[in-house]
Amino acid sequence: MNCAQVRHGLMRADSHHPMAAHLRHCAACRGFAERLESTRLGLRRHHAGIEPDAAFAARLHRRLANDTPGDLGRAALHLLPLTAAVLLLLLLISTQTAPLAEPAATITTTEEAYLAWVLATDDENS
Amino acid sequence: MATMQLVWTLTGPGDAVPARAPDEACLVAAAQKGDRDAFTELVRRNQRRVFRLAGRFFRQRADVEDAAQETFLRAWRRLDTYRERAPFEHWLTRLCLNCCYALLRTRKETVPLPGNEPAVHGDPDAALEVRGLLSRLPPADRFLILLLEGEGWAVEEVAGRLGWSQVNVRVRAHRARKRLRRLLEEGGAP
Repeated sequence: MNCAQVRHGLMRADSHHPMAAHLRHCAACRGFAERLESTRLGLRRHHAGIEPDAAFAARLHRRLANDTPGDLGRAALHLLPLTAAVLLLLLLISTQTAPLAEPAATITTTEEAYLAWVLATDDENS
Repeated sequence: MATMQLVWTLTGPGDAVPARAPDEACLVAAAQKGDRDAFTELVRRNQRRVFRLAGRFFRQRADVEDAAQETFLRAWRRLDTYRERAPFEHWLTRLCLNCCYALLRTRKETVPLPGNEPAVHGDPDAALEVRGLLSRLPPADRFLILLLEGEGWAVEEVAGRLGWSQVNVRVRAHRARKRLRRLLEEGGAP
């Protein structure tokens, strides 16, 4: 097991990762593990600890006075005819100018395959 | 809603729920019909949770409050999209995380001079160094690292709360951890 593999396991906090033997004889990885642990502790404590003041809800209530729930949805509904017209226009333009697309069967990438590819290429380079 | 308005006050302390408080489902239903007082009561009950979550990503009161206000305003505007399949607080958490993510991407993280830190827990030097480390990460990586390492959420939990796919979170987490590892190897950590 090399340093890169051990550090990869440490970053994932993988308790099943067999790294103890490596850490015993590798001072650089031990130092890295200590820095990582200290950083993790710092990240858990990284918090502003700010509480809302007593007037927060009242201030928000005043802002709500100019708003009604679902405004966004209603606005989108009003814009629907315009959106449909633009899409239709774009469709007309694209069918007149664009070449035929490649058959969909050639596209085989799935999310899982993408994840496998990312993990494999990153590990090769690390 | 007249009965409810009798027991709600806008200037009550923190998240305290008054006696004879209506349950959350009633408040949500009333707010969905446009009752601002009902919504304000929901704000009061959930504001500490939202501030706590926003405080994970921002250090200044103004930023935390901006994130909280934006979260509640979005909640108010999108109340018609809330379905009771999940608790209201889960829906709010998702909105809050998305607001924080959007704000993080527009604001540059700065490392304050020692003494200017608004709230420091534990060793102040270590806290400053962690801030320095975070400031060197891109906002998207910082966001995920704080959820995974700060909040201690698993990938599945992050995906569920954000509404992202697990694969998406796994890929992003992998990249974020890789960048963090590089920074630690360069010695940019406590």
